[in-house]
Amino acid sequence: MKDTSRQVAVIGYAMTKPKAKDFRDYRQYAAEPVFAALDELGLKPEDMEVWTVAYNERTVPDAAISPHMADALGGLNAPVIPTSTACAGGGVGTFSLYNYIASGRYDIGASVSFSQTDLFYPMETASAAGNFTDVDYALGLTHFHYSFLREAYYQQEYGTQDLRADAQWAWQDHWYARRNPEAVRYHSPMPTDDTLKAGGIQGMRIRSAAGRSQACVLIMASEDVAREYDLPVYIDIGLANRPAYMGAHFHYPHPDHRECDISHQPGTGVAARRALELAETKVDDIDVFQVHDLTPSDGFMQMESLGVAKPGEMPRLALEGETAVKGRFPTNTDGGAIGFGHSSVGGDFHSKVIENMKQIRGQAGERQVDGAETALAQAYGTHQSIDAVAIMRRCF
Amino acid sequence: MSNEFPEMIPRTECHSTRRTYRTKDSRYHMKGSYCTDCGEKYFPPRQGLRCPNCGGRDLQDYYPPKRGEVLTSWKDDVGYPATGYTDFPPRTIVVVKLDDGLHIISEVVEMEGELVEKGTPVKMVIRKHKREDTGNWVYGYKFALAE
Ligand SMILES: [Zn+2]
Repeated sequence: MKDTSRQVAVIGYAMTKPKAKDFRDYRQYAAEPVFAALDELGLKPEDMEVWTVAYNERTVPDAAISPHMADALGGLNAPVIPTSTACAGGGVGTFSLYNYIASGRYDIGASVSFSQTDLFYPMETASAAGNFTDVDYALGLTHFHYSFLREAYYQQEYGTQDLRADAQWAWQDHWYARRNPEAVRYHSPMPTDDTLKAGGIQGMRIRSAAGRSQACVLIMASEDVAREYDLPVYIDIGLANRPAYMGAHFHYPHPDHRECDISHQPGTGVAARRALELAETKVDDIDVFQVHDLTPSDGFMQMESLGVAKPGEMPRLALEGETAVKGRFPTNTDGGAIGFGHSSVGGDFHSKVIENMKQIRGQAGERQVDGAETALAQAYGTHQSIDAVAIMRRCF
Repeated sequence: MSNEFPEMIPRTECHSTRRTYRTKDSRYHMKGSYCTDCGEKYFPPRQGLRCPNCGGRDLQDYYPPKRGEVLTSWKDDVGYPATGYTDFPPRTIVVVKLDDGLHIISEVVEMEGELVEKGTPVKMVIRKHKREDTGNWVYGYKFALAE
């Protein structure tokens, strides 16, 4: 399926910095990176022909986000397309913008995403609503249960309960985060080996996602327009779904899912296949990966579903250091969800695209992967029910 | 509303009493669906939807066996309970594979968060869950160790 008529490139980006206290309202918060990115390119909001805005409706009770954003950015008459699809929201918004431009209808546009996690309403449902609420949330089961059941299952099926591989994956995320001023854990000390392998809540906290608020923007353009700017990077995106109820992740009767259970991520596999096809490349040619790792097991599953490793093989490869900056597949060089932070819609997809921009442009400092030309960004929403994968390629 | 809190307390979580009522058959009996064309079984139910296996649209009520085995378990003692479940942890959260092959996410009662071995037989039980915003108790399935 080649459903595009021309190449699309990312020409600019910006994101908010991690901040302990931020009392701005969501409009101010989302607008900040937009103005920063456009100022740097010498553009104005009215130069954008189309916008997508991804947000989490659990944080914004206002009935519609489009008029707020159009007004916040100075009274736009361009279409503002809202999307609210959990952590993959940025991916869905970027996918839409990509297709608007690839189809030839628009030449340039912006994809915005934001999430202020302290605005989750009510607070006790922060990250805790269900996937299929009639039979999970209504029975007291939340995203936490999905996430940690999946981890327990993976550890049981692939014999990683000793946490050695999990600790190594998490350590690598922490290592990158200490070299990334944008990471939420940039300033905190590196965790010790003992803490990384600790059981209970102490170990869990250091080995799993660190929450953060975030707003991001990507400015994207058709290839012709992109050439007028410095260092554009091609982007191609695939999107796929999986049933929402976690019980249905076991052998769902569809060819892409039948052989799978909760230790596999077939949606990510399908999304990656589509994106690789559009980019006319293969996974072996990817130089750097950014994947959604709320836990290390999550990270292993993403890499395996992308085809980097066979099911159950990734823990060993992580232990051998292959996700490090000099490894065979450097992964989560921004620090990942564990080190950079997990902001759901606010940046789980966009921040990964931004890290890949830095890598491909050779601007990633100590985290720089030598000769990075092709990169992958992956994010899922509502526990592998919505999966977005972007392939990014150097074109300058 | 209650005697203690006479004002209406709006709760923006996802289930109203109406919805709780409409979906009670799935919570009380694990009602699912089966496809009359290919026989594939599903949970949650999907009457009026389409069968992913064969594309058929004649899906009928299906009540799966109430016994199965634990596939994996996790001790929930990390905080962030669902609304109305504040006093419940530690809980033993499990994936159960029913005797017909369907998979259910649930918990095993009276385990105080202790893990349950893979392959342990369990049976469905009905337990009190939490209060709705009207004050009604919500009942639904959980699992108990089977002899
Ligand atoms: Zn069928």
